[in-house]
Amino acid sequence: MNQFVATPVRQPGTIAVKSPRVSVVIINHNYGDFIEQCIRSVAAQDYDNIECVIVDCASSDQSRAAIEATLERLNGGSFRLLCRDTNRGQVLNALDVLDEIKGVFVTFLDADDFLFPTFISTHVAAHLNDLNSAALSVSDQVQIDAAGEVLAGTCHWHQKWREFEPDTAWSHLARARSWNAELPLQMEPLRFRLHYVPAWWSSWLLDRWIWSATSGLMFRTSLIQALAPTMAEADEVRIQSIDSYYGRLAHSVGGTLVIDAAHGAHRRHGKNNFSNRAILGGQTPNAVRDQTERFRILRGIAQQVLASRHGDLVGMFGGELYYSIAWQLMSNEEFFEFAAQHELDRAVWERTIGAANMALPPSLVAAGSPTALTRSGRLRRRLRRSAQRIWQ
Amino acid sequence: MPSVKDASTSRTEWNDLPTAAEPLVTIIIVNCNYGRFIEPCLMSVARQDYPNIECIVVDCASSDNSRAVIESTMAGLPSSRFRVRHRDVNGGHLPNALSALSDVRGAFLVCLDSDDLLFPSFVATHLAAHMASGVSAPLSVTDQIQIDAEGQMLAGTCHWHQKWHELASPDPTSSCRARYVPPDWNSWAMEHWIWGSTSSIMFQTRVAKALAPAVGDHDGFPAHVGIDSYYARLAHCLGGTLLIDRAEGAYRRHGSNTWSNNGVLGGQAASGRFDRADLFNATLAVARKTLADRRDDIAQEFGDRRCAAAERQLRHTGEIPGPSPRAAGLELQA
Repeated sequence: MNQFVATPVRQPGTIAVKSPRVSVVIINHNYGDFIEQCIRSVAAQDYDNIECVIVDCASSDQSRAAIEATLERLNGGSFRLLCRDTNRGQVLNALDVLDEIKGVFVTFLDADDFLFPTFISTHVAAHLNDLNSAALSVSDQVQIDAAGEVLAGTCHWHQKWREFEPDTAWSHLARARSWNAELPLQMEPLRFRLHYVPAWWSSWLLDRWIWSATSGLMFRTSLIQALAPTMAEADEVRIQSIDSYYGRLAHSVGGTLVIDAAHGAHRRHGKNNFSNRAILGGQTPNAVRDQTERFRILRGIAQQVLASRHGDLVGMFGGELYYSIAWQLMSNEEFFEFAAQHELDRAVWERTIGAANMALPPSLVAAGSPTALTRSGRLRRRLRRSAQRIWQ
Repeated sequence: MPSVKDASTSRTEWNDLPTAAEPLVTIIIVNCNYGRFIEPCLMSVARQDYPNIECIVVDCASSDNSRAVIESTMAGLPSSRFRVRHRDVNGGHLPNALSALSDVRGAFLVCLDSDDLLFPSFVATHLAAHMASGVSAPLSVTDQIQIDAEGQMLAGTCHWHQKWHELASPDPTSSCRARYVPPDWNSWAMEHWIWGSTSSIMFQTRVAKALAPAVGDHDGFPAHVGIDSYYARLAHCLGGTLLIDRAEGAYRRHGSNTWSNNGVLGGQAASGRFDRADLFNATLAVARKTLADRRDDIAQEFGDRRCAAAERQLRHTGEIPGPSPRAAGLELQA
């Protein structure tokens, strides 16, 4: 009990601490059959500081009418419709509206999917945990068909089983606390199962995929903006999806929070870009596509973004983190070639791999040049260990 | 519980504060041109659930609406507990706070930045750690949530509080949230930083006075050496830190912070664009000078042995970081 503030003193003009704004971006192209349910799932969230930007990209079906009718029924001021007269693919359509995003956090919701009412409040609670912040959070999705019938209670490519791998880097945040708007000046125990996956658990291995699908992610907007490729870059290499590019790259900056439950629905309607097979069970592939080639392209664009925005990103991430990401993305040879272009940062990138050199046999260190060192088969592992130290 | 019923009749009397069993805690709020944030800051002090507090607001040559906001906010607060001092110069973070040090009467001291705010349980939580049996430390530190200029939540932790040490090797049997980290855990390794920021620390006032650096006329004093960077590292190497893994206040990123001038990116990504090594070396130089100039005072406060150990640490900086502070620490009873 406070003893010396007698009567209600004049209340401060603003509430001292309040919920962060969350932006939901719905990009639609000819999903008129599903868009209403999608929009209504945002309106039904049990979280109130939401802005929703709907971008209709040159739909030729009934989409426009369906969206307008839905918004009219909702008559909420927090929904906005933007119309584009071209459809340039998921990533370019999204990059095009980055300036419209005002939230601290952002979810890109595919127009054929929808969210459970708890999606945003759960993801925000995860992001605001008191043990570790992260670049993005991910939850699982149930799978439904075009008619809305449930096909599966999980998306197997969410790879929840990685939690149980030996020597895994995942931390179970069992004792985490988090924040909610009802008690804004204290932290409360978290009510769901949450893991933190650190950035040094590399996202740049082809068979690792914990990032669900685009509609199952919530990013820190700061990262979406920092890592945005230019429209030209994105157009040239055709990044296939928001989840594959931003999921992997944002993870290597700040790590991922994995929420262990489904908070939305992924729809397999037969025309999906990726999930074009029926569900076969277990870890059977989800679709027919050329994973290796897609992954190679993705790594290329990530390298390009990192290199072309060197000064900016070094300032933002700190030099050690920057070079650690570069080195995660590159082979040893590519890395040293890249690093050699940044002579001014030599002290930083040498420090980044310094711990590894210290652990090497003196004969190799005496051999001098870093390229000589790369002949050691174990160097890469040692570099990883040094990155582990930097990233934790 | 102390009574304040006569507060209104003794607006200028500072000598008849109640003598309570609870130690008096002094909170210094240094303000320069944070008029847009200082009201929630002041009110967060007024709403502490610990009763025995005095608050000194030091307004340093603000040219915005600070003065008006401070006056109107203070009008609702008891003058026996809250008072303002106006300085006509802004001498920098540390010199501004030091200018009020001679007025501090509390046994414990919090220097609250005027753009931050405290949770109602801040003072009580810190004191509980200081009062835990068998431990006496010069300072205690809690975590902070991060908010933006509008007060929107950005994160539930400040990553530079380095809780990840605990995540890296979690001990499932431990539910410990408060530890004593001994001074052997070297505070003069640059990568070692557990002290949150200025507003998340409570000092023993004696220590703050014994370690006060000579700031002269400010001109020669490095402006970027702040209360947290200087006092935390130096006080720790003399007596250790009470490390509490709980957010008890809010750190505000409003876009023009001196240090945290980046967005929150998650994980351990840098908090701001500044030269860590430069700050560390400037801090080190001030600490070495203080230890040389005031060795007698400091030895009297901490003992010769501790003082010599601190001098050793200050000579051999840049060592490879040691074990996790939480592993090196002694658990305190809840």
